[in-house]
Amino acid sequence: MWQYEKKLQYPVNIKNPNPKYAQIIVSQLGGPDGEVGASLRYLTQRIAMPYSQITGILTDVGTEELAHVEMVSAILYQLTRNLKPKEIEDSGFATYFVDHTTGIYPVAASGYPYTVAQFQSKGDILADLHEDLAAEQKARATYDNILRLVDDPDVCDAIKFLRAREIVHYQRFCEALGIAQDKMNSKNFYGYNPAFDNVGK
Amino acid sequence: MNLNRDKMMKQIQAYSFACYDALLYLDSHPQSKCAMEYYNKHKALEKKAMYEYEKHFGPVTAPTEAYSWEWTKGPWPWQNENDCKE
Repeated sequence: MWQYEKKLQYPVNIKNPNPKYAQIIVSQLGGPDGEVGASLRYLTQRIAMPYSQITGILTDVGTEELAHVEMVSAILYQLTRNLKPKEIEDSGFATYFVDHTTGIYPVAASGYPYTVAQFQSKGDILADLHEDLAAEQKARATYDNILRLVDDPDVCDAIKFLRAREIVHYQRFCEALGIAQDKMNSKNFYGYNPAFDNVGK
Repeated sequence: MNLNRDKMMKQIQAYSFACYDALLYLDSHPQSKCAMEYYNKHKALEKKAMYEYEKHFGPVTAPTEAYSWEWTKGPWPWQNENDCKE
């Protein structure tokens, strides 16, 4: 189970609303490389993971991703606070606004709603860990793109923190892959799947 | 904005982050004495900072013992004082 801590992982204090930025950043909530998908990916994959140490890494990274869902939501909330109808019309935010007002809803920047079809839980250690490594890099690249488009220091500060965490998670997953490979048959990693086949037990 | 509140919260966030990052590191480096010392040290600092904050501004984690129910009082972490209506 989980217990809530009534705090953000890293402070988000945005003084100036900017619906245009919100429409870009919402992709890191419900887009293809967003935080909702990240948390669900790790928290589902961990269940079939036979190696305890890697189950732990997936659990802890997945838990941190939930804190990132909250941080991105806080950014979106503060960027869309006290908006006037004219600002909504002029910024292009109207297409989101008409369906969700300023409620937080996981969609990609394109408006495509979040879908679990964007990630995999393969039940195969090597396939899952390689997906996780790629996912962290894709999220890092998305944050890089956001930093190319946003120049409010309050927003960039929180985005830079989230970007840095992708790199740390990538590092931890590299180590997880090393731990898994040490436990598997080095002559043939594909000989059997420790998450399914019972060979060697 | 309550400056003192923000400052104390920032202190908790800094210690909690140090702990969480060390925790992730320990997951893949369970033999690291140095990381474990770092973890223990910052866990103690986090606990102290949390205790001080909670005395003034209400619970960060569900209270172990309660005499008045402060848990649902705002502002919530994404809000400032003007955003919440009690």
